[in-house]
Amino acid sequence: MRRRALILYNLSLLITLMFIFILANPIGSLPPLGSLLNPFHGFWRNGPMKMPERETLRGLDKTVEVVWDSYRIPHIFALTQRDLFFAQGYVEARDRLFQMDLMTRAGVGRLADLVGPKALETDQFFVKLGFRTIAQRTLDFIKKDPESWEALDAYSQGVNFYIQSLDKKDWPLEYKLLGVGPSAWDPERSVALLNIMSFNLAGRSYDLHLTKHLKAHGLEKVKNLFPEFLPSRADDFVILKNDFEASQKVPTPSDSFVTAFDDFPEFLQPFASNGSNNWAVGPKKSQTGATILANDTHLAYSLPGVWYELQLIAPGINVYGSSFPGAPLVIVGFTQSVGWAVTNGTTDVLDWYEVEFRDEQSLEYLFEEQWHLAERQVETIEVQRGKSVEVEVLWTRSGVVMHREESLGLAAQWVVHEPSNEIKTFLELNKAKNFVDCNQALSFYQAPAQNFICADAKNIGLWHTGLLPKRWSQQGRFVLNGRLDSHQWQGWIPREQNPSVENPPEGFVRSANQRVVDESYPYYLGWDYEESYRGRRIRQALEEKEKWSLEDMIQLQNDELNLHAAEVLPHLLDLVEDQILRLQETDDKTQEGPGSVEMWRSLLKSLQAWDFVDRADSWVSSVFHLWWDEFELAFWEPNLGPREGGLYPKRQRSSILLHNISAFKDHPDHLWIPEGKSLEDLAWDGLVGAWDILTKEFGNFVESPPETWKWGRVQGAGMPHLLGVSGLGEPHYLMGGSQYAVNANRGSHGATWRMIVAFGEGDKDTEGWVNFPGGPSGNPFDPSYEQFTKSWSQGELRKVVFLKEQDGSMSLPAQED
Amino acid sequence: MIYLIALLTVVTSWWLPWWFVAIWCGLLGILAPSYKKAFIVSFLAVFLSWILVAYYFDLKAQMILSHKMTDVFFMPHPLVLYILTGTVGGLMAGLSAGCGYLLMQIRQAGLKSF
Repeated sequence: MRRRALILYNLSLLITLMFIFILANPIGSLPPLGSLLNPFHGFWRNGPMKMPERETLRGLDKTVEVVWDSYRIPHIFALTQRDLFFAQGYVEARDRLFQMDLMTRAGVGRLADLVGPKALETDQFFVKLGFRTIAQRTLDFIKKDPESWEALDAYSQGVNFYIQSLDKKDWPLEYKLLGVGPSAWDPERSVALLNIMSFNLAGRSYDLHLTKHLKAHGLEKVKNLFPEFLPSRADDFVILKNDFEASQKVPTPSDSFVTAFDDFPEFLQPFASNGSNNWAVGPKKSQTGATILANDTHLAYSLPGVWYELQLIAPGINVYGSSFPGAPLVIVGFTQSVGWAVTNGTTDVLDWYEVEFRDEQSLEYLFEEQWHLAERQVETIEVQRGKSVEVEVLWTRSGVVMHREESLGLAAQWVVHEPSNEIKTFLELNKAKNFVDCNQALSFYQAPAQNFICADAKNIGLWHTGLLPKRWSQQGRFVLNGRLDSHQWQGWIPREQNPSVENPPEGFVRSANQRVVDESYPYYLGWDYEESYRGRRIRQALEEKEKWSLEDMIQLQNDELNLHAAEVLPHLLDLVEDQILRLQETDDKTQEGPGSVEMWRSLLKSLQAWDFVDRADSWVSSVFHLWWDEFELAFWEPNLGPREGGLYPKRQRSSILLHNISAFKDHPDHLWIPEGKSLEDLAWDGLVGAWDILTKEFGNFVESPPETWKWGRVQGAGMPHLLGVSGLGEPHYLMGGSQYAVNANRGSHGATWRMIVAFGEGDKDTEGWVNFPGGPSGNPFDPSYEQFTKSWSQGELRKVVFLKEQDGSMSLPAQED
Repeated sequence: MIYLIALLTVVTSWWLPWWFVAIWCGLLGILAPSYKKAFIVSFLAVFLSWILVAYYFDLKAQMILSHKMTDVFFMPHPLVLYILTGTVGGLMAGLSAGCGYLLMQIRQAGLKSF
């Protein structure tokens, strides 16, 4: 009897304990249900926070005041700079702690510790690429400038002050879903965040892809398909005049090295179209007689959004704009007297080297006929719940070794490996009083290279800013020889010779990630830039209109004219015309509806009538984009292999090729037409392919195209949650635009921050107009979580509330401009 | 008893870990006349109190909590989320109370065998 009771009790206890254990821990992708669902500490406690209009905090030195405006944007008033960044850390953590944690962990390869084994591969990649060492080196470098260090340190203390105030019930929802809590913050985190942005913007390299093409097709063909300069229009470049001599010449070595590697592992690459638009019209071209500045930064859409809008006010600083949550200061913004706008410089600053080791295991590598010892570090990656993995990081003169095969290594040399202090640049920009201050702030800036526009009421200027390696012509296009000193970077392009332009005669400056300079620039900057279509359109618009207003600028940011389509569609239509005629001859007159000659004719008519604008409600736009994709694939796949993980020529090159083949019978480009096909076949097959995709995936064409064929639906635009949790993102926004249009919406990427600054003159204040997808709060339950997304998707901007020093309740001295 | 458990749950859970309810229920289960009663009473007490507290916070947040989380869990209706919340707490409580009752049974069986 007693034994039976004992067994029953033990059994029941075991089941109960097991049940509680399961509830307390995440199982597979399932969150820890007990901690998550209980109404005392679980997600039920994550309701929106009530924001007071004004709030005072105890800062590190004195009291800090935060004023929340009607858009729930914080304006921080502090009496010292230290307090200002302390409060920024506190306020950003309160709104975005999880996002900050996630992003900064990525930058030092510590994601797996938070989100589990699925992030291990990413962590391994970043650790191998030297991210932990870079963060440490950068931090040591920043410490040499006490003011920059103070900003980082105060920000970090602010974040920690918030973290320490948290009870388990206050953890952001994502922590509760993962069953892990936040850990203490340190200044290294902010540095890691800036480094991950450097990877997103300057981590792309096609050297390995090109090397594969080189081995398969030879140098001439590769140069032909992937030219350094496309025969573009003369005004396609960011900076049009570079009439000076290089102060330091770079000799080209006489050897022609081809790596022994036949294939390469596929390394993580940032999204190819991370980019931006910026432009400014000077007083002569502005309706108000004062400069107007515009910027839209193209990054991945996410909820919460990548930017955090705020105003920072302290003695000597009054700046409005957006920051990267996780790092102090305003990254893109303006003061009452000066503003700055950025686009990715896109110049290639990552080169690959073949390194010869003594043997498979050895740490000794050959350099200038001598064996040198590689610097070896062993880093540990913690994976959630106890496991850990070790990663070896090897540094050579040719950079960090990413892959080893027998006695050979493949090393990456990257500008971001150089210690730098971008905090100093942003600190100086945030404090800038005029155009000269703004320009001077850029002299500290190293990576990722950006096209910075500085503007005040009277002046505009654009600098291709950043540390640029000095290379011989075409150096780094293919894998380089790590054994030779002559294959190493030859120092840096002197700062004063970085491409730049100030107050040009045309009255405007602009950039859109396209090639920065033409052949007249005396240094080699690489070949891989964004296509010129966006930049061309911006230039065209700026040239056409004499006087610009704020509304015109907003309109241009939303411009959806696709100049790529304008360039290639007439050719494609010519190519399929004959096919339609042939169909007509063999047409079965009884056939109607899909597939009939009548249907193809009407489709062609719609394509002919299309104005090349990628509107959200245009179904013709969908047909064009899919048609081009299908055509391009059919054309290049037989020549260059699969698109996925491969590299095809730029669209601009393909469009020139299309023109060459159509116009000239003997043009050498004919050799690229896949065997047994004609260009007409490829164009027709592409169109039929596009039709099939639309029909299969987006519904049948019955008399007219269905709603689902609209470009806004086919390309779509969605804001996924940072962890990809469905229900916390917003999957569908009906938006136009494309990668070729100024409104560079690409479904998953696009303008994550839009800003226009109309400078005031005399009594008139400077006005800032902004918008971004998402909202201030990172809490999915907060009404402000995605409060701006709808208006942003409709292309609207809102006038910001720019507070003055005296708007705070503390007595801050007024700014002297 | 049901009120006592619900009261203990609601009063103590604010500062104690969520699983602490299991200990109260285990202790009170000792007094139960049968396993079934121990289980059902504790289950209902915690099921209802968790749901009520959850509803309070949901109401304060204009029901956005249950609506969003319903999507996160691919549930057809927020009601399912409430039932899941209640059931998780309820089952834990019921099972723990059952343990308490069975512990008592060992003691009683021991006494009988003397």
